[in-house]
Amino acid sequence: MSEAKAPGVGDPAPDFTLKTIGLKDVSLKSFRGKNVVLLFYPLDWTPG
Amino acid sequence: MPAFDRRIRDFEAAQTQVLGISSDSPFSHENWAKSVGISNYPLLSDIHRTASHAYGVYWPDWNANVRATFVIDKQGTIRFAERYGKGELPDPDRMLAEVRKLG
Repeated sequence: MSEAKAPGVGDPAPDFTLKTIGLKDVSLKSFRGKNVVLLFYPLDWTPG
Repeated sequence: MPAFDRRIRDFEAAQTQVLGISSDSPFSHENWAKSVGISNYPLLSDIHRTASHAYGVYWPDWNANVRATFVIDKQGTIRFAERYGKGELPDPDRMLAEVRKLG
C-alpha cells in the first residue's frame, strides 16, 4: 500500500484485530463509544 | 510508553482507551512491558504489518512502523494525527488535551 492512502483527520479509522500479551485478540471497533489514543512505536526496546 | 502508563487514570477520566502498537510479537511485548513498566494499557502486535500499512505508517527500512499517534473519537473518526522524528516522543499532556476537546 502506498503512503498516499494514509488516512488523516476526518477519515474513518481503519479497523484491526491484533493480538496482545497473552495472545488475546483486541479489535479497535470494540472500543467504539470511547475515544482511543493509538500509539504506534517502532519496536520494543527502543526509547519511549 | 511508560509516560502514558503513568497517566492512564487521566485518560480513563476522559473516556479514552490508550493502545500501544508495534510489529513485535506478543512475547517481546510481554518482556518489554515488564522491563519498562507498562501494565495499564494493551500493547498490540502488528506482526503482519497490516495496521501499519492501513494507517500509512509502515517503515520499510526496518520492516516496522514509524512513531506516530492517532486520536480517534467515539464514532471511530480520526480527529488528530501526528508523526515523530528521531528522538521525538508523543506527549501525554498534549494527547489529553486533544481527547478532552472531543468530550
